[in-house]
Order: sequence, then structure tokens, then C-alpha cells
Amino acid sequence: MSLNSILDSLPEDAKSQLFEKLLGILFKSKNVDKADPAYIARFLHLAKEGLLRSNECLKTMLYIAVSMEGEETSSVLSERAELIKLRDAVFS
Amino acid sequence: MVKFGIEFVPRDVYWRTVYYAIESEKSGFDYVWITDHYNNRNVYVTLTLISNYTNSIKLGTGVTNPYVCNPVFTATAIASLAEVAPNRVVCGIGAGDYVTLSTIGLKFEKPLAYVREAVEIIRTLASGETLNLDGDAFKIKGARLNYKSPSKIPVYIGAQGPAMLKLAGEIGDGVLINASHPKDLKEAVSRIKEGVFKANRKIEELDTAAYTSFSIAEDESKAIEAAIPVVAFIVGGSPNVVLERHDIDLEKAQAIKDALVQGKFGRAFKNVTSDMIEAFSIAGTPKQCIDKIERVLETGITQFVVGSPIGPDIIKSIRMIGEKIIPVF
Repeated sequence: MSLNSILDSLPEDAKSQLFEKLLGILFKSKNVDKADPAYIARFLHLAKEGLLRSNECLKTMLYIAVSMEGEETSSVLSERAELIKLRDAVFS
Repeated sequence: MVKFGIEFVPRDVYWRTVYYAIESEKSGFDYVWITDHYNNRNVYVTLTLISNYTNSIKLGTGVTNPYVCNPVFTATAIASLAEVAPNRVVCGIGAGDYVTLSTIGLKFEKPLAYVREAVEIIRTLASGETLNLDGDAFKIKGARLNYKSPSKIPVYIGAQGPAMLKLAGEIGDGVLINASHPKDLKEAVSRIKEGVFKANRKIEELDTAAYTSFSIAEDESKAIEAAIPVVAFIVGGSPNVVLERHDIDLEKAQAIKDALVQGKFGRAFKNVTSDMIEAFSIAGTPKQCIDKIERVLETGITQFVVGSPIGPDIIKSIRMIGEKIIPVF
């Protein structure tokens, strides 16, 4: 399954919780040098356009979070049963 | 209607500050002010990036100073920024602080002359005119930019002392008053009015902004805890006349000053009292903050600037202000 189709299948509350958790990783991590500037630019662009809760933004945040804090991101994706498929897709 | 501004210190990686600004615009803030310190990310780089990722929020230096940054360069930078974001740029300028300037070998001298002449230099050059100035602080002979700002750039003067506040009333398009308590703001507005009267202007011509130390959270104790370091530094830099105005224990204030000078920050923070928090910050729950902002606005303030630390969690605090504070006013 693609990331998009997994994200499409997630209930809204799971998406919302995932967004807040990823935001926490992005803004608390000390590994800022590991974030890809292209993904950061994409994230900021989507934030400007009001598309923070979109699949595109969640995917972008996932890429950034994995590069900054791989283990923590994996742990976040293990917290809810609905996110396990996402974790497996991201880390496969 | 009162305007709301928010201050960010670009000490963190650029994109986090840009994101805070995006959240601020969406939360209803009218102005974003970025501080200018040599040891943080550059203010103009930060503001340019913010301009690219926002649509309407006004963009200001909050504040630059004419010692570290020659006002000719400030004119160049601010006019360039105005090309990127026409009608959105404002220039905040003040005298800077003695400690920072001495760290980098600069003398804090003739602050009134430096600021007054800097304002003239910035206004003249940014508007594309030729400048000749034989001042006490700057000597300029026939300087002119090869371009001009496409829109007028209002100049705000950062001020705390009586003479600088008066100067702000005399020549500023706005003033950024470094204070959080109605007592200090009332006193400041009186001094600004003296300058306004001297220049035969009207107070309504100025945007009079309270540049506060602000901290908001649903849990009051967390809001206060976040404000303590900022308040310690404010107490450390306040003259006794200001401390006495708020009945602050001078011995405790001195203990904070001594600890800060020695780099013993933990000790300094432990000496911060509830009186100090009350005098030098607006910290608390949304309801408490609303009550305090109402008292601030009674002093004649036209812009309320949410300054550091904003809250224990910056993003949550920005959203909280957008949901629970700004709509009330």
C-alpha cells in the first residue's frame, strides 16, 4: 500500500494526533541539521496554504521527522493500531 | 481597534521562526517583530523568509540599533525587504543595550543623537533621496541608493527612558515601549505626548505599542515558570527608579543583577519574586491575560506586542492567543 492510501484510510482523529506528535518532533529535536531543506520548504509552503492536515503535509512531516528522530518517529507510529501500517511503510 | 503584534527571537533554526510567523498570521496577529542581535540569526534574512511564507502580516525589525548596524546599511536592507513585501515593512530601531555593545567593543554613546540621525538616514535613503548629513553621530556626503522602497516604511522607535520616549513622540511613526505594567506604560505615554507636543503633532499619528514580556498557558504556574528567566533579565537591566516604582525589594534585585553578571543564571532565576513577575510581565491563564491587557489598553496603547517568552509551548500559546485573546478585543 502506498503512503497516500494508508493516510487516506486513517480516521481524522488519528491524523490530527499524528500531526501534533510530528510537530512536536520537528520543533523539539536538536538534530535540525538532519532536516532536508527541500522538505522544510515544502512543509512551510503547505503551512502557508493552510494544508497542514493534508496527506501531502503529513507525508512531508514524516520524512522530516524520520530524518531528525527516527526512533521517536517509529515509536509515535506504534502508539495506535491504525498507524502500524504507516510505520511499516515508512520504515520498510 | 487595538492591533496585535508578536515578537520572535531568531535564536533557533530559521524555519521554526518562519513557522511561528505563519501560525501567528493565521491566528490574527497584525505584526511580527524580529529581534536583531549579532549572536542570533540575521533579522533581514529571517524577515525575508517570513515574507515569502505569509500574505499580509506586517514585518518589522524589533529592534535594530545604529551602533552594530550602520543606518545606511539598515536603509539598504529595509528598502530591499520592502521590494519583496511592499506595504508590509516597518523599521523598529532603538539604542541597543550597553552590555551587548560592550561585548563586541562598541561604545554606547550619544544614544539620542544616534537614533535621531539614524531615523533621518533610513527615511531619506529608503525613499530614494540624496542625503547630506553633518550630524553628531554620522557624517554622510551625497549618499543615495540606486533604488527606492516602493512604499513608505514607517519607523518605530524602541524606547524605555524618558528622553528616548520623548524623541519617539517627536519623530517616530510609532513607538515600541519596553514595558508590561500599566504604571510604566502610563508614564511612558506621558513622555511620548511631550515629544508629540514639541513637534506640533497629534498622538493619533503614532502607533503606540506596548512591547511586553508575555506568557500564557491554561496552567497559571506553567505560564509564570516560563516568564521567570525573561523577568530576571528585565530586573537585571532595570534602574532603581523603575524598581522602586513597583516596590521591588532592591536587595533581591541586586542579588539577581550580581548573579547574572557572574553567569549564575539558576541563582538569578531563584531570586525572582511574584512582585517582579507582576511588574515586568503579563503571565497567566487566558482570563488573567485578558484582564491585564484591558488595563494596559487603558493607558492609550494602540498595539499590544506579545513578547518573549510567549508561553511554555510557543505554538500552543500562539494558537491560544488567536482563539481566546485576540477575538475579545
